[in-house]
Amino acid sequence: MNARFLDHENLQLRNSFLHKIWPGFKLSLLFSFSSFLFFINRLEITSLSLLLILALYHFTGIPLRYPYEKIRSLFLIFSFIFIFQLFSSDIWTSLIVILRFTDLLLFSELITLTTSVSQMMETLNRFFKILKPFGFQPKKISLTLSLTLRFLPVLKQITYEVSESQKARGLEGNLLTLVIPLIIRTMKMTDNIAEAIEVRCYN
Amino acid sequence: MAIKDLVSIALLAATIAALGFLPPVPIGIIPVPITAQTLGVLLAGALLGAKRGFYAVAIFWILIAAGLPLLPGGHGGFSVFYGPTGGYIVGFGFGAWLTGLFYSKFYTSLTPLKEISCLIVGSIGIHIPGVLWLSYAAHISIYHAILGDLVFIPGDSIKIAITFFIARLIRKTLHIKY
Amino acid sequence: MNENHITLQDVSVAFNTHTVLHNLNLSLNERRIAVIGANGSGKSTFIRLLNGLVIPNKGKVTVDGLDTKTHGKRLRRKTGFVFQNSDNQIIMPTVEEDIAFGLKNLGIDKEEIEQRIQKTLREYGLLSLRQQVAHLLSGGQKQLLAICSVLVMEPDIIILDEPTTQLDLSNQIRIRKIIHQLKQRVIMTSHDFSLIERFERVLVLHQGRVICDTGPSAAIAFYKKLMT
Repeated sequence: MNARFLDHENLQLRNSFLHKIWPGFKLSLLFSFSSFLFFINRLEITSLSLLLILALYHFTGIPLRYPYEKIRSLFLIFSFIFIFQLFSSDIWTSLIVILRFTDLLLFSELITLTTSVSQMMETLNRFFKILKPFGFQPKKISLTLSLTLRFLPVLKQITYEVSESQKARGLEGNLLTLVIPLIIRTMKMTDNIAEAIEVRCYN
Repeated sequence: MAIKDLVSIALLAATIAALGFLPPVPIGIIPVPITAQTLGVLLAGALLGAKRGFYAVAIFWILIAAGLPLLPGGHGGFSVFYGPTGGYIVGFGFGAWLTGLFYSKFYTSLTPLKEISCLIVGSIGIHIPGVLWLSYAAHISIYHAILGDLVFIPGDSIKIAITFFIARLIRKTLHIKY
Repeated sequence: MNENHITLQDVSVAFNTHTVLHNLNLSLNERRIAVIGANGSGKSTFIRLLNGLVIPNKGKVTVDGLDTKTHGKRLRRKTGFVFQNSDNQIIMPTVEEDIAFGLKNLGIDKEEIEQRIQKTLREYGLLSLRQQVAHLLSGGQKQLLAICSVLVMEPDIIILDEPTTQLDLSNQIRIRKIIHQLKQRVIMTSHDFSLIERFERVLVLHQGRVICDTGPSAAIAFYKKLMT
């Protein structure tokens, strides 16, 4: 599956050892790491993990600016939680809580940065195939994902067009007049697209 | 699932994503600006019903997990599920499902009052996993997490009102089955 | 006896209570057939009858001996359909995925899919756009892709719904040329008189009835008179 229209980071094109690891393995690593962290309430482990993760960033060739930006975007919520914890428990608990979030965020971000969108899609698709006995329908999921990727830029463009025409009429920032035409145009497309799929022998 | 169902799921998933690209609207004194994304979630439930509404969100989840920056502010990737607000994103699915469930229950006798109640229940559905996760992961008591959650009420009321108008309008223009 | 032959017997189509097509009786065996008529005359419904996208409420449509009511799936393998709005016809994110979509549905193996994609893209000058995101194509390129995605499935009959309406002049000329050169039988709705001119048979639809069924020049003259 191709998602090049939104290929957000050229970082994903780099080639480090982390880029080469099978995405499924990276995901299971993420899952076990996060479960592990949630059972551990020790400051030395959470802070050591942080150092380890930052080292991984470094060895992968991703500038430390990236993890920094990631944490900065959540600074407000983090400081809120930190101050709150200070009042309800002690400074160690608040440090552990904040560090744990930081670990999880940076590690999962690292996996996203070292796996291309299409690679990740493929892996998830494979995962759905395994889940077939549980009622998952990988063929349908895959078609629906493709359709979403196909029409997302179309809807983005419609949103843009509508908001431009609103500006011309001085209706800026009015969500109602923006969303109504978007939804109506979207719903009207449904039948045409369904027909187009049907005539190309999808069953 | 018929082809048409898959198409409407895909289009609503794309709508949820597209609404995330709108710049957030600041409201007065409250520190949290309104994003239009949860509007799409409520609409998915209201227009598609419980099952398809939930699937639309699920498709949105997959795209986020795959690394597409579809959340407001260009966030995406697995990390969003692990952040302090990850529960709200999981709540999108629960909210869409609840909205759809109540809509289909009341569909034959949908008065404005009932319809708004459906949407309120749906919005609360978005918040429940959000609050639970925040409380669990940040070691905050449920009571305090709910207190912090209250900042969303003004924005949510506006979104409920908008969804209400749109859902009524769409029902008049196009035929909707649950 | 039914090879290469489309018949409509007493066909009526109604949506809810509104009748769109009234008692059509036609036998179509020309290689180039055009349908003209004002908006709302039933053109779109008419061509959708031919591959079973619309099933008549009354009467029977057979295409090369196949009843559209009972053989919808086989008919869709036999016919290719190009819609008016190519934006809604392209259903995969990129050019090559869109072309491959129909082929995968036909159960064709990978190697052959690759060969056919190559051949079609080269033939229609889209090879350099193979990896392109469909959304970023120009209007003319989108229509070309829509046609390619249908042709690559190698149908016997090609049905087109106003193929040149949304195009600029140079693309209109290009698409006209492609349509004229198609080896397949073509049935098309259009308002584009320069395209219809070279067709063999033209039906004029008016309020759900065929009110004129003749060659192109007579039909166009008739239609122009009707509209004034």
